[in-house]
Amino acid sequence: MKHWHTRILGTVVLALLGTAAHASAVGPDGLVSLTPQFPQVVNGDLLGIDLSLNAPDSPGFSPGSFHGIVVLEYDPAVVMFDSFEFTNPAEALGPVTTSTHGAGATVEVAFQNAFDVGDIGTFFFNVNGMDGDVIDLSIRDGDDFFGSFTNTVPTIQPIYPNFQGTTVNVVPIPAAVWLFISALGLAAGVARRRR
Amino acid sequence: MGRQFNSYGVLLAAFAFVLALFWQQAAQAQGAIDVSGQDCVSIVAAYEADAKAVPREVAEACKQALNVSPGAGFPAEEPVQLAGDPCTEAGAASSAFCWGPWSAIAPAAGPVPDLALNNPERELEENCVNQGTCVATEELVLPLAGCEPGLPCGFATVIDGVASVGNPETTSFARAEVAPDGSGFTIVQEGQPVINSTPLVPRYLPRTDEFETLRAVGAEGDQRSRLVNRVLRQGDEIQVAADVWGDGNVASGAALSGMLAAGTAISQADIDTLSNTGAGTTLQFSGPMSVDNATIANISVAYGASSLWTGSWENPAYSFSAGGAVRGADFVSSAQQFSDNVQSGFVQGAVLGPANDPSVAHIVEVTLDNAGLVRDVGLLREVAR
Repeated sequence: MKHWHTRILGTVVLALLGTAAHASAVGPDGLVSLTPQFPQVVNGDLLGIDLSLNAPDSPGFSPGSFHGIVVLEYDPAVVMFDSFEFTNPAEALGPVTTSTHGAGATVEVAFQNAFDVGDIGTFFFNVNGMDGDVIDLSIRDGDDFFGSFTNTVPTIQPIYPNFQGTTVNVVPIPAAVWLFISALGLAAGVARRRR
Repeated sequence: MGRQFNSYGVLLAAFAFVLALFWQQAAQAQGAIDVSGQDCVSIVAAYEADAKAVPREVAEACKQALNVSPGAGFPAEEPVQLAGDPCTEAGAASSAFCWGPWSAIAPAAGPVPDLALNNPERELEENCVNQGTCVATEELVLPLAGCEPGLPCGFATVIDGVASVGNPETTSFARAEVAPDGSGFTIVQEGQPVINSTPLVPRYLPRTDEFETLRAVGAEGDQRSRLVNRVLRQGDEIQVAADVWGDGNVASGAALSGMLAAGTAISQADIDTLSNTGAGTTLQFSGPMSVDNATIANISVAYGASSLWTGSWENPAYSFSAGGAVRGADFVSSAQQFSDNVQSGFVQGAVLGPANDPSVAHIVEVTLDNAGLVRDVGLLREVAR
């Protein structure tokens, strides 16, 4: 019983910490973010996380044509990268690459032709974490020296957006699902007894 | 009789006085033709093509406005007043007083750029051409080194740090060159490279306009360089390039960056062709500036007997105009040709080749009423001929 209290409290604290950590504002050059914020998943799920750009006030034309490179860091013990699907009109600027760094892993996405406001694409992860696991998915500019983000219309202008990741909570299978599975089992048992 | 004579004398004197008044007013009216705000380059070009197309007084006023220009930031010198025109007389070629249609010279005014400034020493040259018409030419005094026809040519803004765009107060200018294969760039100060980029790996991406996007990055140890440019290529060689450059050290964090506009200056053969086609050739250029791409620049360059240019810059927050003389590929502003809202500054540029698809690279440093200091660089493309 105490174990459950600790776990719930820990999850709440981590969620609050995550809220603080991900509370990045839309700066003059916009915000690159992952949504949804604080998704709850269960082991075995295919998790979809949208990568979005919100830079309506950045230099150049709107909706513009934005290029950039995003690096997402994750814990492969909790989620495993599956794929990245671009959202029209954004398209690949290069291959999506993954690499591991000690216990962590990264996936790098280079994109072009994105609008100033909208989705760039969606990361898909397989959830292999256990009930109670919490993982931060953080993102950053792929060029941590010059910065890689530009609006290319009408001229090429560098932009320096803020970045906002997300926190994923692995939760138990909901009670309703257990009830549903139980009901299915019960119905199957009744049906067999009637036969 | 004596009284009658006196009456005639008084009448004659009065008539002479009235005539003198008319003559003076006519002379003043002629000298007071206001051509400010007029497209003097086009007016002069039209006059030279067809003398009946434009009133001679207007054309002369335009020529005078375009040709004489003391340096911005320096007090205007009083023109030398001569009793006669020695340039129409024999021996004009050797006359030190042959004060022909001097060409506009406008050294930089206001804050002096930190990089690549020339010594504004005037180099004079005197020629008498065209049936004894004495034309004293003056080499342009350029804030930055000029561009040699047919050779790599370009301009850049320079700021501290990696952001490429910064406060105009801390932005300076330099000459810039981009390797034709996109494998590197140089930022040049007084003829000497101050930045030689690391070897770059270029990558070209399509765009929806006439350009391609060049993304080129390179590293040597901790040193990093990059170009993110709009480029036009002929074959595999870059014809013109514009926009982002950067160079710095990831270990120390020290970096310089900015915007650029570069290519190859139009060749002397092409300049001669443009100058000698009919009464000359006027090239029209337009495009957004690189630092603030909300600014649209329009520049008209006329090659011919009088090689002149005018330009205007339109931004949601301000606008201004300028003009001056053209020498070879180079042009520079004349202080007298700035619009009234320009307190000080200069515009310098160069026409880039090839002649059948020219561009203009230029830099602007002006202090404007109600808008303050503007420093920018721009690549403009020909829009009409």
